Amino acid sequence: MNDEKRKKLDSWLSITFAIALAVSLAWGAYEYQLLQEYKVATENQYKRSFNVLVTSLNGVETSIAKAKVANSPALKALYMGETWKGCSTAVSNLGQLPADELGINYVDTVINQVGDFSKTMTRKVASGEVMTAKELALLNDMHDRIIDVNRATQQLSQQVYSDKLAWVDKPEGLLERMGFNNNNNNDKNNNSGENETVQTAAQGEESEGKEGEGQEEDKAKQEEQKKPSSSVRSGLNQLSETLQKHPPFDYEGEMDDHYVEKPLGLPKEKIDEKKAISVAKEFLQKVGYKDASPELSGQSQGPMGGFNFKYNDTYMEVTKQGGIVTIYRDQRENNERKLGLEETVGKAKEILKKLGWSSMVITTTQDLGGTFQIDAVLVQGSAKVYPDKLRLIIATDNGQLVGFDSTPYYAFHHSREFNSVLSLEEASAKLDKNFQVKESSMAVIAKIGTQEAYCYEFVGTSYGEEYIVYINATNGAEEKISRVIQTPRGKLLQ
Amino acid sequence: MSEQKERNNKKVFKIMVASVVLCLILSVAVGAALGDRSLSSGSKGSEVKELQQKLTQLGYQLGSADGVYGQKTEDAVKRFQKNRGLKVDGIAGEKTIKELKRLTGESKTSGDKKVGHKETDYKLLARAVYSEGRGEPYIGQVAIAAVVMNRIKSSSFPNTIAGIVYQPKAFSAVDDGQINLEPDETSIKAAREAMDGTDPTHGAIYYFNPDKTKNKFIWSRPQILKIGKHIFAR
Repeated sequence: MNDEKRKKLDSWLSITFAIALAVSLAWGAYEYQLLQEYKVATENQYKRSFNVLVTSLNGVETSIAKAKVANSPALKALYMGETWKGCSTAVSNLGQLPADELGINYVDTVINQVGDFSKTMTRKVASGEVMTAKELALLNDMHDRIIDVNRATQQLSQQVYSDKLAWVDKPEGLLERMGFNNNNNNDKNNNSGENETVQTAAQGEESEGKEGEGQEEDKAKQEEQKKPSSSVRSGLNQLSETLQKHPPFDYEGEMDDHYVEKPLGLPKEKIDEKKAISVAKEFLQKVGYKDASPELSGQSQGPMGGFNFKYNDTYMEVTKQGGIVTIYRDQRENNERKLGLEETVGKAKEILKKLGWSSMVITTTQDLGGTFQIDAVLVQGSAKVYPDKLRLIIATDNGQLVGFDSTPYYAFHHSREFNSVLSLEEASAKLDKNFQVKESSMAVIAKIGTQEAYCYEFVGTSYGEEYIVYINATNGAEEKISRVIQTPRGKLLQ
Repeated sequence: MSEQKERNNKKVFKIMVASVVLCLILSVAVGAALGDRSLSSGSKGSEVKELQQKLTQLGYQLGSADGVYGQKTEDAVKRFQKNRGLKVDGIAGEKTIKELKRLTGESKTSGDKKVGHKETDYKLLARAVYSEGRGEPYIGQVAIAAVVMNRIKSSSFPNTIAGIVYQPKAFSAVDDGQINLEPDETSIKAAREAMDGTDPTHGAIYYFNPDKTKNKFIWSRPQILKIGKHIFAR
């Protein structure tokens, strides 16, 4: 009896286990299949990006070659334009490839620089100007470097298929580490084991060049050989290192303008912490905080560097060079709105005077509800100087200044000389015939980097829309068009 | 003759009844429009849902737009009123709804032609700011957004907000999915301010938390300043 019971129990148990096993196996298989599907989908995305990158680089290489030879403005502008477009596609797709960690990549830099330069040249050539000898030499130089990049990425792209090159060096997640991902493991083995002959992109390129060329390449080749590329990313990193060794492109127009190397408008003298505190106190007093005691909360480095202060809900920075307030923010709570647009603008003008800013004119206002964001620019003679810009944020409950930014002003302000050659009539003759002018004035606008243009500013309408068109007062070139859009927050110049 | 008249009358009556019924059906199906009446705690219906959707669009989180004016909706309305300088009473009255509609409206040309929402990228930038820097001081959130804007200008990065935010391994909050959290109104404000050109970092293209980062590369970059927990570098 006991035995029978036991047997029964055993059989029940074994059936239960068998079912459990079958279920978990099925579940595992299902999950595995799902994982495979995801993996294939992701892989496909990566491969697509990589293929588009390779194709567009190839196109860039060809279009630069043609642009060098083209003589008519029409074709030269076309090929420079194709180069520009190709570079932007390449950069966008390069940015989608997987990475193992954050770093700077000179492949991006080179392509972006070629793109920026070809954009400038497209415009120049289309306006009928001729590229200078220096610019042509630079274009040739860029062509050489793009050839390198192109060949290297082509090589990598081939290896993705022929050697099943992985995308990054490290395994991507827990599942791969647990051995769930057979394909990936094979990749790893291939790379570290039997496929030691896998050439890095840079290697491929250097070794071919070896025969006819100098010793430098030989050296570079030996260097590269020490570290075979085990993934697409490491191949790209090696290419980046190779590119970094080249001297930067010799081009005066700024291609990278995220950082102001030399602020043009900062006063010369340096100040110490003590002086900075008194500057901060004075500023706080002017915006309505009497007897404030700002505390030093840190320092910033670089050409616009300064002392950072905190006082209650406020934050501000006083530059070490010049001792001026660049940034001020008051995060106090807003109370119920009492002021409309005109009153707030009036308050902004008052505070500008109080802070010692004369000859500024308000250009744009944005209604942020509790506050208004107001931009003001310098007026010199009769011209609005757009680069010399201040931003004020005024609270609508009591008209207090709660935000201030003078960084652009001090970055770009300098003494300028205005020479207009064209008369107003001559300048307006350059406008589109359908453009109906409502107002005209003079303005200085920013171009690439720190370059500027002295222009006639025409506000008018065309096709039932409002636009602002800038005509260069010296040479009559149509410099810029701003489209005026009414957004929920106020006027936007596109 | 009179029979004819009677028949006509009947016809008119029938048509009238039918159109009244149709009107009733239509009004139920379409629902009342936002702004027809003032909404407050306890209100229900499609108008409330529209109110909730518009608040969410502007970054005032209230859970899901379920068409019920509950505590969360009231709090969101209060926050909206506070930020917009309206009377803070938690009731979506005429002024509040008008302001909400204005802010969520499309952009127009000077000829009053609708051209869609402009500068829509601020939403993604705000997500990046919220997922990476919620809890940081406001100026530190503007700084994070400014780093993205600086990368657009820099030669070494992609040229769009999406290209930069989704660049693999560029932001940890993207890799772990936090980027999909709904941003709050502070991060939206910070994102917009940076898009308008404010840069408290003076040109930084990197930032990191010094307590959590060992990455040699990022430590090797020239540092500009520290705001809150983050060091900003170029």
